[in-house]
Amino acid sequence: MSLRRNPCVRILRRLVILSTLTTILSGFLGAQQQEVASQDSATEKEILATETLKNDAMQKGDAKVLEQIYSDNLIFVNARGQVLTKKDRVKELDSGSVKYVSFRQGDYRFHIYGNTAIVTGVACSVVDYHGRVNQTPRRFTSVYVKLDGHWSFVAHQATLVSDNEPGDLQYCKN
Amino acid sequence: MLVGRLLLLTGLIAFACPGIAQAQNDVPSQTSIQQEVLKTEAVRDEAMQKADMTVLNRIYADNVVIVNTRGLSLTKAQRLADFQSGDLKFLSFDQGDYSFQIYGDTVILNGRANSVVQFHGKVNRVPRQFTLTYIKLNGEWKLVAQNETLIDQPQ
Repeated sequence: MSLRRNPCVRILRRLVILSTLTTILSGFLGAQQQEVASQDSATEKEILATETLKNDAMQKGDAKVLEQIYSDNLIFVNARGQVLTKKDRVKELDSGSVKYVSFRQGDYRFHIYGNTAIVTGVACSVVDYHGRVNQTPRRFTSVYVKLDGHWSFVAHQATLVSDNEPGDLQYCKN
Repeated sequence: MLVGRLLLLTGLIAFACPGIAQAQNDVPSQTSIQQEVLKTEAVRDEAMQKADMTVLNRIYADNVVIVNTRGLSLTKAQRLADFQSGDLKFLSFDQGDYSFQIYGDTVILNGRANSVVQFHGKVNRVPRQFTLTYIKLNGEWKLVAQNETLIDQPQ
């Protein structure tokens, strides 16, 4: 029996081809995963930069910067459960009816879905809100959507962290 | 002559592939997206009341982030465990006043809940404002983020 017709050789040849293909495919998939991870990391950096600009503008009451970052259809739910529009929120910060006595916000977590990013975090800032000072830590969810090449702040909601529910608020204690 | 051939080719392709024109018309309108999300939300609401794990498991994205009214951050596994164990129960269900913001396959759904909820033995009757983020993943609307806040009652 010639070597070419030997069934064992044929099987072995197929196995070699299959393993080569598998190696190539897994390498390709691995590279793709790395690319996605790298894209997500770049997105996180972009959003963090926008978030930093926004935080700075909030402390300064810089309406111009806030108007750039806030989406026209922004829905902002504050820690009192009040629903504010972009206009309401910018006015509050611009007029000084919301003032930051101190500013501390972080412990960010990101979930990226293409052009949408979900950012959660903790705020321990002390805020003078229409004459009432709030020192209670808040946990928040912000949603950014990339519109016309820029990350736009489209939704936000903050919730007070109950005294008896410290959760993982280590961030505010450090 | 080349232009004529190109036009002929274009016509032939359009004739052979009527799905192309159809696909362009199939871009969902804002209204149909709202209806789809509202339907998913109705299914989720019913599943929450019945503690239907199969349905909840399908609608909640694996990486969903939930901030409850106490300011606790919960994962999908934690939320499903709350429903399954009965630690989270609806004594009455009333939710609505919805508003939608649509950005392609991302939908922000705001609303108000007046349901009476028992959470780990503590009954909560205070109305809540919530923000839900739905994203279409592999053709299905998934809940990727949820944040709830008690509405401060005027003194």
